[in-house]
Amino acid sequence: MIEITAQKKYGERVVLDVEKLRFVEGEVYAIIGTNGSGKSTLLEAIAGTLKVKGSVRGVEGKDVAYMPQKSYAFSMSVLSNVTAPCPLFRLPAERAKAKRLLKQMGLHHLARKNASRLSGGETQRVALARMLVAPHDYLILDEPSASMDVESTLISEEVLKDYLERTGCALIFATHSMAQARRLSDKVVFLDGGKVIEMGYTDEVLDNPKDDRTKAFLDNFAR
Amino acid sequence: MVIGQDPMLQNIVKTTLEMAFTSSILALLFGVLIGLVVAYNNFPGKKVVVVILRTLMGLPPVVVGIVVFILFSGTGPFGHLKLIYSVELMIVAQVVLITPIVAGMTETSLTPIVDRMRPTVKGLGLSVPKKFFLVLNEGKYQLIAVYLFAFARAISEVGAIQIVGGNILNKTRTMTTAIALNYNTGDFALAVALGIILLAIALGVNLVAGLLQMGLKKRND
Repeated sequence: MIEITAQKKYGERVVLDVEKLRFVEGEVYAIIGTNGSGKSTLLEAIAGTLKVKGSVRGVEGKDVAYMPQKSYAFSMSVLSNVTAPCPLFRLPAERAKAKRLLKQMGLHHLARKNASRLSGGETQRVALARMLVAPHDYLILDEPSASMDVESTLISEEVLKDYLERTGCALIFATHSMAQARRLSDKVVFLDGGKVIEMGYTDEVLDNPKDDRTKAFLDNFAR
Repeated sequence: MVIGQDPMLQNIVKTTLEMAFTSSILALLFGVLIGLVVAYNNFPGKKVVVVILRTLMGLPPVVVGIVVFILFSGTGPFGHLKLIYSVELMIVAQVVLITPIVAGMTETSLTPIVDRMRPTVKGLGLSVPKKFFLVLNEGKYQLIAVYLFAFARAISEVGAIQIVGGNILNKTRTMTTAIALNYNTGDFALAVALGIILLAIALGVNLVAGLLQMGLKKRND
């Protein structure tokens, strides 16, 4: 289990202020909030890619993989991009795995294409495939379906669910889509001004929010 | 044709090419490594290191020549190596002179690339050699340009190599030191002819580099 207590300020502005926020292994968490609510900062803090004041417990010895909002496509083939995290000595076996993954994602026809020439949505799908080629304990995805069309989003979600089932990996992801949160997550965490305003089982919170700010957010979303 | 008929000229061209290629390649290896480490890592005092690197890019060749000469002269700490007035020592001086230039240019050209890649690379938890390989792969066009600059600097250098090499005929005389000598002795025709050959070599290296860049671009498309 990961437990994070963290504060991050930019000047006087507090962008993250969470205390003993826990993420259990094997569960799926959707982080929801308006722009600037601290979603990305929280994910980066958990992944250890951003220095924050406080502590992140439970990540020692765990494989925590993080995909930023704007993933970088390396200037090499799509297939090489997907196998980039794999150790060289396992490359032949991993290439076969990567090819299967690309096929599942509907990207096999792009395998030999240079990834830096892809569209935003394609880049995001390749980045997701790159995260799923190796087993992890925690997968942290910042808006994994950003720039994807509906069909690609649904295909990617299916591949992701399949991966989570096979590996038992926990997923923590930021999203602006309540529908995606319902489809993927066990629990949701609502953030506002860097603070957790509500957390609980996805259907319970989305159907029956307790906090006024969560209600207001969901009302705005429904409009 | 002119080179083929004159053994002395052949020797000068051979010495020049040996010194320029060896020193520029060594400077590229050391400089790219330094530039990459500085560009990739955030550490206390990084800005100071960058300022020092950029300052060293302007190292006066004559000063480098004198320092290397003192270090390797008979009474210097490396005097026992007996490298004074040799092509090897000319290469050492050139490496000292060009490495900071390569390092500074590498740091400057790779920093924006590293900044764009960093969140993805960190998130994937890649090993250090793999991170560096990926950064170098992204910056390959810039690195070709850096090498061309290093080679141009190596082949056109006079001051440092004249001091540590001594401009000895059939041993350490290069095209630039020969040009300077011929100018001093009033043989302008030979000086100009050597200058033209020097330019032709630089053009040849640039053409090869251009073809390499085109080949890489074609492969990327």
